[in-house]
Amino acid sequence: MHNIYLNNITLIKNERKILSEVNVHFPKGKTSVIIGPSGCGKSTLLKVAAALIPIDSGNIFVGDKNLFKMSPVDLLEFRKNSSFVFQDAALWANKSVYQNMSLPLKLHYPNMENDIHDNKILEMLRLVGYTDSIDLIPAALSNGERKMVSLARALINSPELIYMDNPLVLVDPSVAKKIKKLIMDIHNSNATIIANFSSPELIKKIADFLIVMKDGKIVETGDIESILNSKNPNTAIIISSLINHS
Amino acid sequence: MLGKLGRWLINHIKALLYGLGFFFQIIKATFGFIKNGRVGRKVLTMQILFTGVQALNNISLIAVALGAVIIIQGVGILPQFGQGDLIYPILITIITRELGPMLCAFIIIARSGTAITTEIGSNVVNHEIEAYIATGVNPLSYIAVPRFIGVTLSLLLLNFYFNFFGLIGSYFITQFIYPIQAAEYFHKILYNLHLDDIVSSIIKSLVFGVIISVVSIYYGFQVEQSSTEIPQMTIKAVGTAFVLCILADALIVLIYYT
Repeated sequence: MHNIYLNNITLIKNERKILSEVNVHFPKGKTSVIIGPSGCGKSTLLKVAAALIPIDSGNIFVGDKNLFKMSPVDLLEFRKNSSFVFQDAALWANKSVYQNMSLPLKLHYPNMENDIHDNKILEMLRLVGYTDSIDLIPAALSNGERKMVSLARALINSPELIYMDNPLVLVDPSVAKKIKKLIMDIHNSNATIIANFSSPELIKKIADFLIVMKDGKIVETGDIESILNSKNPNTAIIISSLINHS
Repeated sequence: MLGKLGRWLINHIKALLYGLGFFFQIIKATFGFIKNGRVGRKVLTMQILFTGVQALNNISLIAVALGAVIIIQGVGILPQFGQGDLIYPILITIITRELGPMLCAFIIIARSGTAITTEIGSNVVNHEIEAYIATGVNPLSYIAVPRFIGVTLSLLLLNFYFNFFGLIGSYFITQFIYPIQAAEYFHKILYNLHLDDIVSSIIKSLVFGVIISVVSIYYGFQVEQSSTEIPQMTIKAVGTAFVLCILADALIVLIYYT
């Protein structure tokens, strides 16, 4: 997977600029964390970087390839090597846990043998700590279990690039601990992580690169040390509110 | 005033062009699905089961009852004017040409159209569509196309059932009230049933199926972020599908019989 570049991204919704001429790059093999006050456009930027929502202007490059002009084959390859962990799990409601896990595998590895396919699903669910039945539908799961399955689904194709939209929100401390450990493992595997975390502890541990946002604009970007010592007043306020909030 | 009218016109033309673009995207994705629709086949089967098979009870009951009503009324009134044999062309005009496709369409709008808009709307609100995109699944191929094919095929099949039960099933019901010779009844039905009637009925079913599925899918995807938008879009989908089906019916009749 290559570096991801977002060039002059603007997104307008209901006549309001959600993102305004955003220019940022996410380096390959590093963990980039977007921080900023609530409603500043962190989740939206993450979804735009993953090309999940349309934009009004700008371009997204994966290496030197424009994501919006990629051939279907290249786009499928990009999707195979990347995954997205949603804030609210976003499991497919009419599919069982097994089917939620199986769809990405079947799509990208159509010729995988059934026993290897099933073992892979069970292995991923074990890895995230999900122990309940694989035949349950998402409505029958607790919030924490949904998050675990969502993480397992995101990791099933061993992606090189993972987008994470606040995976620790709305989970109890024991599940949060498991998820944090898993994120640390992903970080140590040299995968590229682009995330929106609200946990300063996690940010301090794994962030290689911070993107500070306010009102749909990038305030500042840089490594964790430079951002923590930034003289920019907006950055200082955001950092202090993040630390106080925790 | 003129400015408002201009903006209204521009917005409607934009919406129409967007809708047409959406329709052509579905048609394009349908060819891709036919060539390589391995992942969405189960969705297609489920759609046909829900739309075509589970609606069979309602459709057959309505068809039998409607056919019986037409025969009973016709046999009671028409002979008084010396036009007893007109009951057969009337039966075919109402059941095969007009009410068959139209009533099936109305039932499918109420049953499947609403279900499709609601389901896709919920998928949007719960970020399931984004999860499909992130996985590499094209929502148009996986969600829209199976529903488009499923509803269109199901409407065609339901129209066949409707004609079968309307023309044949109702005969048996009327035997309790106005006994008619079976040989005479079926001979006259077949004599009055022309290829034109059958083709017109098939064309209408297909056109109505396309309208209902595309409109329902389109409004499902129009939901943006709030669950309160789902019933609003469902109401719009139902209203639009009704109006477009009736307009299409009028247009087909106009083209076909003039």
